[in-house]
Amino acid sequence: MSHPAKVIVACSLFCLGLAACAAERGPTDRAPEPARTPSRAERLATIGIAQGLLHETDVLEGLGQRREAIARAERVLGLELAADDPLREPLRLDAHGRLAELALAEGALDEADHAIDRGLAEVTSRSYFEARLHLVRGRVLEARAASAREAGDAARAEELLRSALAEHEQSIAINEGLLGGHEGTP
Amino acid sequence: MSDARSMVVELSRGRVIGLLMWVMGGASLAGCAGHASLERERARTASEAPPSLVAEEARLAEAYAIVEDESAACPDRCRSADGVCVAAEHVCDIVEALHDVTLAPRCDRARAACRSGRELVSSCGCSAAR
Repeated sequence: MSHPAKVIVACSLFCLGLAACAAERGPTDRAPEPARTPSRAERLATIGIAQGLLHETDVLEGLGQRREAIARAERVLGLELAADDPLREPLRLDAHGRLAELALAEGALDEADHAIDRGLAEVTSRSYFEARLHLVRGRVLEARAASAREAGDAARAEELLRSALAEHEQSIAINEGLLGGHEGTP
Repeated sequence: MSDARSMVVELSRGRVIGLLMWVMGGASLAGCAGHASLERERARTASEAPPSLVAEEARLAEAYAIVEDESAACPDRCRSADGVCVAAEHVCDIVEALHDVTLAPRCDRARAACRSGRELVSSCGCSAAR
């Protein structure tokens, strides 16, 4: 083989090597990896954490430590539950419902309404937790009606009570729908 | 003489460059082969999980199914039945507070829904389950 031919062959070999390496690396070395799907174990662990926090919320509320209880329920909303996890919605709605109840107990009616609105905005399917949000909404309206009555605004109080009535009936309708036609499974 | 020397220098420089090219080409191919082999090994270990991991995954799947099923079982139905009754109490309190006789049937309906809900979950033994 002549000298220039050897050089050409060597150059080609070198270039081929570089090209092969580039092909072997593929696009993953250039683009960031897509978001990793959490494993089943990770999902279970996150659900367990959420359930534990909700239990702590109950305990702290029972002890009269409402601020701490609110902090626990808010932590549930901060957890990254997989979007396709069937338990994501009930857990989050449960947290919103508890936050609304805790705010109501504190007399923070606007805060309670805010928690209810956030919860209802996440509803995609009928559940006890949606029904509870309507129930708490009814109770918030009853509390507002009491304030209006105390302030001497009877008409406003009546209007608010009628709205509360509708919310409670909505709550009943949802729970009836969930119970209807099903036998209890012990 | 000078021309001959420069030809020799030129020739040996060409050989060195050629040799260098061969070495670099060979090294890059060898490196790539190693890299590819590592990638294949990584993929193989990922797809062929040891039996203990497979068993663990099955156990987790079972646990996950139990957690999922809970939402359809008695505890939730008990909560729904309780929820109906709590809301019914509020309905009747409001009806009473409004002093409006036309609203009385709404209280009756709510109470009926409460009774019906309790009957529907009678097999759950709700108070014990909660």
